[in-house]
Amino acid sequence: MSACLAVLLLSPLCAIALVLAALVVNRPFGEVTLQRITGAAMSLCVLASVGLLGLSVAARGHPMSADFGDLIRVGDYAFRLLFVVDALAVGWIFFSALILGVVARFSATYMYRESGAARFSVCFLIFAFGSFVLETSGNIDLLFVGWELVGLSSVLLVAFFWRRPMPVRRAMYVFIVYRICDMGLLAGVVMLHHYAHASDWQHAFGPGEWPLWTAHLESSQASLLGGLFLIAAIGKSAMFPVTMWLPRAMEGPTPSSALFYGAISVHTGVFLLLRMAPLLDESLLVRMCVLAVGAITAITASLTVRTQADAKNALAFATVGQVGIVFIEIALQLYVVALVHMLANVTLRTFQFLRAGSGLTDHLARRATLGEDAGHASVPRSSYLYMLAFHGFFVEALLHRVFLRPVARTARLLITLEDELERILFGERRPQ
Amino acid sequence: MSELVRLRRWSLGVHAVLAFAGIYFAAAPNAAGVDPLHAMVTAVAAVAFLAVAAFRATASLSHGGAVRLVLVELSVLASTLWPSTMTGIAGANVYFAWGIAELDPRAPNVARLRRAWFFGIGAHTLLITAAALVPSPHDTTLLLGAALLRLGVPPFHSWLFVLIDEAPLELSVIVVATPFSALALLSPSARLHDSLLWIGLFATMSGALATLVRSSSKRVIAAISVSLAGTMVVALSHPASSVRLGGALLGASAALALSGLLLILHGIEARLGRPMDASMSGFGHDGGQWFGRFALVFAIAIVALPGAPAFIGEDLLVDGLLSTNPMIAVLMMFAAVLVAIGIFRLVLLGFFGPKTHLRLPADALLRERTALIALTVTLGLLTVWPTMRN
Repeated sequence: MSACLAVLLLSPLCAIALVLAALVVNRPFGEVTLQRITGAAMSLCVLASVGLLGLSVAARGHPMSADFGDLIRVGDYAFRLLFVVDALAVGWIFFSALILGVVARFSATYMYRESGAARFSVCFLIFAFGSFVLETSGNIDLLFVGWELVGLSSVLLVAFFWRRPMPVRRAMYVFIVYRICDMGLLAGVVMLHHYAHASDWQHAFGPGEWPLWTAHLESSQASLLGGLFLIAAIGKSAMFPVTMWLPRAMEGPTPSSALFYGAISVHTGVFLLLRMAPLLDESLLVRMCVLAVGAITAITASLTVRTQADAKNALAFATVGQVGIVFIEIALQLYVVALVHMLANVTLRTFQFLRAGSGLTDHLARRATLGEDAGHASVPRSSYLYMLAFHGFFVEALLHRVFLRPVARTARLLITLEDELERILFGERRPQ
Repeated sequence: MSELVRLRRWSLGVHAVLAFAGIYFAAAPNAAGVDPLHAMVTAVAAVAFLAVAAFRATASLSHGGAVRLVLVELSVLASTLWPSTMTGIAGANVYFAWGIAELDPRAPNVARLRRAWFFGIGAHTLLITAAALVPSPHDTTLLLGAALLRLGVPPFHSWLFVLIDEAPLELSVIVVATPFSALALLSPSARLHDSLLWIGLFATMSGALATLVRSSSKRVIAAISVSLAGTMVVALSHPASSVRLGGALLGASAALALSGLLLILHGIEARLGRPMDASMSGFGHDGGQWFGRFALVFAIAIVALPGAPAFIGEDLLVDGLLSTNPMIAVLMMFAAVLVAIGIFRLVLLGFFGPKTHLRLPADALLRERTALIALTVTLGLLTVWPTMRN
């Protein structure tokens, strides 16, 4: 178990170190070498995930853990390198390793002669490492590490074509949404330490196995923690009301879109909620919120997808619509169903994203040959519903008015006062 | 080999030895009876001095300047060995006074710089001197005032913006690299007054808000510095030692990362011959790729992403605050989010995105890259420092 885990986690990490070291000494690897390094790292990860799957089957799905000691210890606070492979994690590890391997192979062709190959490889490998840390984490601290690495690599890949203005601005937008929603996770991490006096699943949620854990917390505490983790999951999975960051994130190259918004990243929120199932079991209020968020997202995303002219955007909204349904299943405590649904959605959407380009070409060729109709929107374009869906139900404008504008206005007022105070104290600044 | 190049090598060698000494005292538990926290402060300052020495343009090198930088570093190191003597603070204050006095009086805005220096560092020095003359408990109040002034806690922060934005490299970077020398003024074991908590919170929030809308790149850094100074004040006012350690870690990592960013901005401005503002972008393109890469690394360090020491600091801080002041903990987290957005705005939009008509004639030189790597490695060492000191 420890050997498989070490291979799974260290392969991408070593590959990152290798690529970065070459960059630091100003001897960057060529495209073919980069592809080989990434491919080798991902192949090892797939083998390790198969090994973990085999070990888990042999252990009849009972959780297996590996403790590598404390990375940091300050008084009562300890950052423990504890990894757990259980019924929830093992399938997700296997699927994500497989998908990462497929996307690595696909990107070798797709990114051929694209400038920034080393940057793409580093971000891809950081993402792989982050997602494996998140999936195998045995405590909330490690989960947070993986979560943030997935988010960071996602933002950097949105800004991959950074010589153009839009990718950078959109990466900034994605970063803002991630950061605000991650506040929920950070608060949840600290609150879990505070209430449960533990950060690992076994101590925080008691003995047993996922999903039969029980959180030994008061209902109010479970509600607060569940609510905070729900905020984090909403951000990462692009649920209502922050769904609109998803089309913006499509500025990145197609392999990264497939990885992030079709497959692993957008389902990370689901993984978090499934991991926190014991908290949801304890709190009806949080389950109702999860249900509401899932239902609203499923409806709005399925309407919005019908107004999209861009194939990748349409696929992204379709993915999110399904994730909304997975949220509903989680709210109904159908955790195993939600897990299977999530894995099926991941597989299908990865395939669709990777085939988006050639699928479009096929469609155009078919239309040219057979004279088929271009299709029609299932929502009449003149209807109010179409307009609402097209504009994302004006949620973004509302958030801007209620939240962003007052913050920006306060900040401007503050710096006006600061500048005035500076002028009074030190005099006018002369141009240099 | 020119005399100036020999001078630079000599100066870099001395700074490297002193930085190593600082790191040794910080890493070796109970070495020569030195307090590890003070030693960590010294190590951070020493590495920043090394980076400043490496970044100075050859044309601006002088024997007097090199000796001055070594002397201030020696005084900081001495204050680690003998904390009660406050040699570090005295050395730094003399250094600033010397630097300000040397400025060409005919240059624009020198009068503004002098007033700002007097309002900040000068008043800070006066308060410390006065504290030595008055009996207890008035001396504590004066020292507290001196610390708040030096940290740049609002409303006493205007001087910080002027010095960081308008002063030459060796003054502005040292201002950013040594704010938590003010820690030495406050007894780490004594519980400070509750009102400090609110002062710190106000500083944290106002600095964080200002990062969102400031247009000058250096002023964004000054605003972040104010916000993190507020965080340190909040941490110092907490009774739990883990929270104070968290605050110190946040302060140390911010000092290193902000120094790195400020050095990069100075490097770019020296090449452009004009200040960098929000209307300029794309400096990470051909000609500035190293600057872009390092700017991203330092931004990530400030954002408190996992792996960065600021992450551990923030975790310790929020964990301790939740038990006593949950509302303040939530606001601190909100401020951290705003700072993260502000710093990423600066780096993503400044170094990436479309290229403006201005082009950098040269990327970071080898000595500049080495200095930035030294700052990055020290940031990495800070991550494991809390475990090493146990």
